Amino acid sequence: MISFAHSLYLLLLPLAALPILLHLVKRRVRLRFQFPSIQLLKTIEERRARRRPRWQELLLLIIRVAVAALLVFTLAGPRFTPRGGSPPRALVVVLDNSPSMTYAEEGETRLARAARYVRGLGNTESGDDLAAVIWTGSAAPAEWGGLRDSAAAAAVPAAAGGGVSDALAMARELWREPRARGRAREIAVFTDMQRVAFENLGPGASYLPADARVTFYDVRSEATPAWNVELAGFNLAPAAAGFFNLNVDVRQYGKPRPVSLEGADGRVVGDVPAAARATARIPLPAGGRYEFRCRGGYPFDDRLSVFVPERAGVAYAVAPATPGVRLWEAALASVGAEPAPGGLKSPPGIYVLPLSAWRESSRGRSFAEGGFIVVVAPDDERGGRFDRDATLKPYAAGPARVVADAAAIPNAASAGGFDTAGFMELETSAPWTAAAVAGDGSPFIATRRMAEGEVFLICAPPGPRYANFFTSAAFVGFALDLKLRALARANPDFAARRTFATAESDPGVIGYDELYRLFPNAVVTRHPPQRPGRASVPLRAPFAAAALLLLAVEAVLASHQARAKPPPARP
Amino acid sequence: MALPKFVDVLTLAAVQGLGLRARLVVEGFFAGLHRSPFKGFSVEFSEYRRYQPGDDLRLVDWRAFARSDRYYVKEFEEETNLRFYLCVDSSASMGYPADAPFTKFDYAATLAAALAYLALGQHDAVGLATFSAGVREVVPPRSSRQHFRAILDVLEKTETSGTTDLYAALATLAERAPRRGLFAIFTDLWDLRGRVLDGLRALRGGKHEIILFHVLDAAEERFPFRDAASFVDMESSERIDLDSARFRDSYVDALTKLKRDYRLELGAHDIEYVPVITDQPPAAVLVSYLGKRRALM
Repeated sequence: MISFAHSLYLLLLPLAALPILLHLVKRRVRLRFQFPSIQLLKTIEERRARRRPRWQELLLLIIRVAVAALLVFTLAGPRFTPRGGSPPRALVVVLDNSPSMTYAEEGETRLARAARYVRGLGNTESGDDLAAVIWTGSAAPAEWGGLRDSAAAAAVPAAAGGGVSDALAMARELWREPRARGRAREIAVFTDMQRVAFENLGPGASYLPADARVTFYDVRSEATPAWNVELAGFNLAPAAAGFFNLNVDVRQYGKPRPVSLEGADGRVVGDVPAAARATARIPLPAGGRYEFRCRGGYPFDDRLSVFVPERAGVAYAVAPATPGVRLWEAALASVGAEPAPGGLKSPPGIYVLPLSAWRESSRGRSFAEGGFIVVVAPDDERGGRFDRDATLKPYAAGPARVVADAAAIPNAASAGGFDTAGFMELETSAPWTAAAVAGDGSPFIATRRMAEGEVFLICAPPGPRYANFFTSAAFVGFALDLKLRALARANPDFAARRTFATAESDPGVIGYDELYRLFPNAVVTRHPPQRPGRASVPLRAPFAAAALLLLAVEAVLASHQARAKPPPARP
Repeated sequence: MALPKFVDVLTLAAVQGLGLRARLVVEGFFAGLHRSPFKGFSVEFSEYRRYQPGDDLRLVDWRAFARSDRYYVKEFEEETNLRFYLCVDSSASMGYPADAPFTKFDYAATLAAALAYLALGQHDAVGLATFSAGVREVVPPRSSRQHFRAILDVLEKTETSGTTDLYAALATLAERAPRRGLFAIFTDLWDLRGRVLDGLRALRGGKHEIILFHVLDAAEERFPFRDAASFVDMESSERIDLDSARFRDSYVDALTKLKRDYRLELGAHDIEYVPVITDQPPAAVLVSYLGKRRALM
């Protein structure tokens, strides 16, 4: 693709038509000669009028137009950008270095991740790009410089967070500088999407030039959901004769999506139309496994399994003599896990395993009545692998989130006790947080990443209040969320789709959909930037050489034609 | 005394020693150079001689018989002058180049005056006619030297104008010249070819000898224009727009063909065709032509 560094010069392009104009004017403005008789001229002219113009004249005209056009193009500074390459850019990097960016996820802070991403932006080897870095936490004026320095500087957090709107204003100023003109304007904002950074931005405001390419890089851990699918309503309530009533409302960007539920034999057992507040009560036999299908929608192209328990609160997994690992083995065996090198390998899916049997098999020690273990093996469709040696540690952190019956949980000191020390709270949607933070016997959820896959410990106290806890909308929504995350990990393209904004319900976090409303042409992504392709090649010299060459050809042709012409007429 | 405008001294000097010989027999015969086919028919009295039986009674001078009572027969000069008609085209096209001091008409008039001087020097009767769409001025043929002045006067006073109609002009001249003579026509021949040939045939029908001087300007001959230009016809004021440089070769070819055709067609009628370009010295043209003509005789 050809681009121009100084495209304003292209306004001179009509000058290329000057030779044509001169040719026409020359034809029009004629000398006037008296001639004795034109009778002979007339007979010849009639004959000649049927002939085409001489090719030399046409060629000369074409060459002259081409020379003029080439000269204009040369002035405009043409560049060739190969496919996949990048034109010379005026790249503004906005780094959110607010305190929240120091939060560590998956072994690195968000700020460190942002710095790593920034390094992927650069195409500084060619020296064609202009780059400037703006820190949202700094009021210092930005200057055009290199990306390497900016990447290093990105590791410095600010004492207080600044606003993205201020950074965008600085970017506009930078682009107005003469050296930035004629370059592709790009801005890359690295942020953890905290709403406070986006204050002062209102919809419809013209923050950036229309031709600017805007990308928001969400540097939070990929574990955070990245699309806007929500289970607005879900209830799996026990019904008579061992049936459950399913009530489901799946929405994407707030719009209902049609959902069907299939049994293990592929038979559709119920449909939910795509209508606002549309629900369907579908009777499901207990003990079956069903799969949701979202018809014509995304991301439910993959199957989502739901296990309908035989009966809430009834144990059917038998705990072995040694609790802990062996408990896992027994639990996984109940869902069809098979021995694998170093542990067990489970089929994919989400399984809800009641742990009430724990009490019976752990020497009379009682665990929480109605507690469950959810085994999720979502890493890929091959299933998850669980290390034999990975034991659950006692939960010991987060005083506000201590479960009411923590004392009832056997710790590592007990023989083969249930150790939850390494558990951490799952950051998830607000209903779950609310459910987990209750400290007086409310349900809680804890998770631990295993070698491949994750284990979540979800407890709910006994009693009628939580009798339907694991069939509630909150729990199933959580399960759906886990499944979608698994899909996203398995398929990066899935998560990269910009049409899927995060389903953040945290009011402190700005949603992707909100960003799209603010910046309709922007791209919001969690993926690191792709390294740009080959840099563009300046074409000014070849264009100038071509113009000179054509000029030489023109001179030769013109002189040849002049020699062929007779001397001027006698006055 | 200053010489008249049209008498080019160099021209006259160049042709003075040359005789103008008619190739064909004409009525007159002068100083042994021109043999008349009509013996005994003269315009000048020579002498009387005594009547002898057998003489034509119409030649008897009855007045001399009345005075002397003897029969005398009149004898005349058995010689008649060549009747030399100079016909000069004075149409507008002969005024080319309009802004130049020496036009085609000037050139033709110079040639005509030179020939008149030559012919008068041989005691030939020289007449002049100018024409365009028709005959404009006529000077009857005379052989006196003073007649040269009259011819020059007419040529000097003539202004080029009007269109060319060679047929009309030549047909009229043919009617006005019943006796055989030599016609020297100076024209650029810018007329319809058919009418040109018809006019010449009409003249040739009167047994006249014809020499046609085709007078063209150098620009007409070589078409040296190089730019796109408008060409305005000097006779009809019609205009044509041309890219001269592209046009030149075709024009020169067409003109060459036209002259070749005229040469062939006029030759078929025993009409001498003499192409003349105005950048040639008039003396050289006459010397060349008359030398060639003498060789033929």
